[in-house]
Amino acid sequence: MSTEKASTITLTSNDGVSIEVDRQVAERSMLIKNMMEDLGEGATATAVPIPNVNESVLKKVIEWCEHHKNDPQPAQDDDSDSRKKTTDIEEWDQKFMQVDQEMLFEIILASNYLDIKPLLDVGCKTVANMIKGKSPEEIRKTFNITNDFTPEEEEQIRRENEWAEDR
Amino acid sequence: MDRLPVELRQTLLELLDRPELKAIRLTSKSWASLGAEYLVSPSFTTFPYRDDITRLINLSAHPKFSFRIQSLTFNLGEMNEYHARHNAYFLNYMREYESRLFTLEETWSTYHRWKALKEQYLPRVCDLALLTEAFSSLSNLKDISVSLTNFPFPSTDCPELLSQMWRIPSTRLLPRIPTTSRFTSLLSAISLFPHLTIQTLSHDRLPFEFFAQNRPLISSISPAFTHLTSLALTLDYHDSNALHHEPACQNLALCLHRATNLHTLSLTFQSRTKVSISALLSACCDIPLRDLRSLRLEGIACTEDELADFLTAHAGLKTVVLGGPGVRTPHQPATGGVHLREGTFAGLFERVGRGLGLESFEIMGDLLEVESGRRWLLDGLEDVRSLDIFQSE
Repeated sequence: MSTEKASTITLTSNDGVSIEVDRQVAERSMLIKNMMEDLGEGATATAVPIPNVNESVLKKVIEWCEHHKNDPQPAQDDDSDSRKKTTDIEEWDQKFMQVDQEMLFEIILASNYLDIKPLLDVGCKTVANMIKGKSPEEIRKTFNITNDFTPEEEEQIRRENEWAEDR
Repeated sequence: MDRLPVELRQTLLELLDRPELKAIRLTSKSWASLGAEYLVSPSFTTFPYRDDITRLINLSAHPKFSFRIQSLTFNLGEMNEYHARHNAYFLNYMREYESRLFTLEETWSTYHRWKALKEQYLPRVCDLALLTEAFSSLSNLKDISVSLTNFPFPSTDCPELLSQMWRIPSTRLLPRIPTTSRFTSLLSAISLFPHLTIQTLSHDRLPFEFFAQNRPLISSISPAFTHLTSLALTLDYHDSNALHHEPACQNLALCLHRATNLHTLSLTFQSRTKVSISALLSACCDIPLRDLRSLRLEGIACTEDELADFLTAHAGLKTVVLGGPGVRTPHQPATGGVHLREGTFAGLFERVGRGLGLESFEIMGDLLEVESGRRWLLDGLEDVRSLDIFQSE
């Protein structure tokens, strides 16, 4: 009985919806994992509030964690250069990330808050891929960025960019 | 995207390649300022066919970028066209006439395009006034290297033949006077700024007469050696250098004496014959380099006693390499060995082994004991302590 109880956790989104998930799935989030370790077994009985994330985003994040629940945990300080700079994303994740931009950034923010590094990576890589091959004007349009340059400032940045012509 | 916190935007910027980084910097002020940090690489290389010195000056005048640059490489490589033409011909000797002609024509026309650019830009690279301007605010600069042997042409759109030719040593030009004066300007510019703490300095083909310049000049540029922890000089020794050999050795010693923090020293002499470093060794025995841990000497001649005295005077030495590959084309034996005018290698190793607690002691190249006439040729680095070939027969 008790082992069964320990294997699920209830998470509450900021709009008050409770979702029950396997503990193994929830612990893809380092935030929750550390919290569970700190609080001990008793903590599983009460719902865990996730104040920064709403229901639809939380469900989406849980969906990702479900799919990746058996992945090996990432190394603590995996800041190696091999991880950076490559923007390859596995197929399932690519499909998973085919959402509107609002949701994409919500997932990135939630994975950052919940400390799910691999999901944060996938999110950032997705955005990086959206930037690839685009002109500044196209990037502004895509992400709704306001051009706040004066012509002189823009020219200055253009010049700075030229100085970085390194190989 | 603008609602992402700064640290997430930085994570994103780390994933972007340079063209995308430049594009996103042009979208808005905040992206321009955030992206600046990732734009400039800490190592900057000048090439002969580009106006890199102007670029360096611009970067050094920029409040953010000037701090980024930590290492500078001056690629000053030029081609000796006379030898290059022969080498190009022989590299293609076995090919059919038509295709050979096509390759040669393509290669040489590309080369001439770059040569025109080189003639425009190379003289400016080590101009003292321009270097002074650039160095005035590069406060994080730590490493400087000068190369005449690294490939000096653009890696993209480069005819394969050009890089094949470059691998043959005779293709690489050594313009003695400009090379000497460029390194002089470089060290003068460093010496002008006490706030610059250059820790690593290297030159891979410096004419020996650099050190034969007058003493006041050498004294004036010697502050450039003050903060060095690592120095690697490959000195090209011409027969005519015999004329000023002694004073040049004294000047080299003067510069080494300034380098009181030196950990790693590598001196390579490239010459038709082995270069006598007796004067240098005795000058350095008087004031040893207290922190020296690692030493490499290549292409030298001296006596067993001189070398043993010099090595044992540096009690902190952990790694010693005597000899090296020398200047050689592929498939040629190593030519950067050591000649002992008096004494034996066995005697040298015995004294050094007794006097120093070395972690590694290696030897390589063409080795000769002049007195006994015995010689050895070691084509790779060999651990002295595992070799028994030097024992007397």
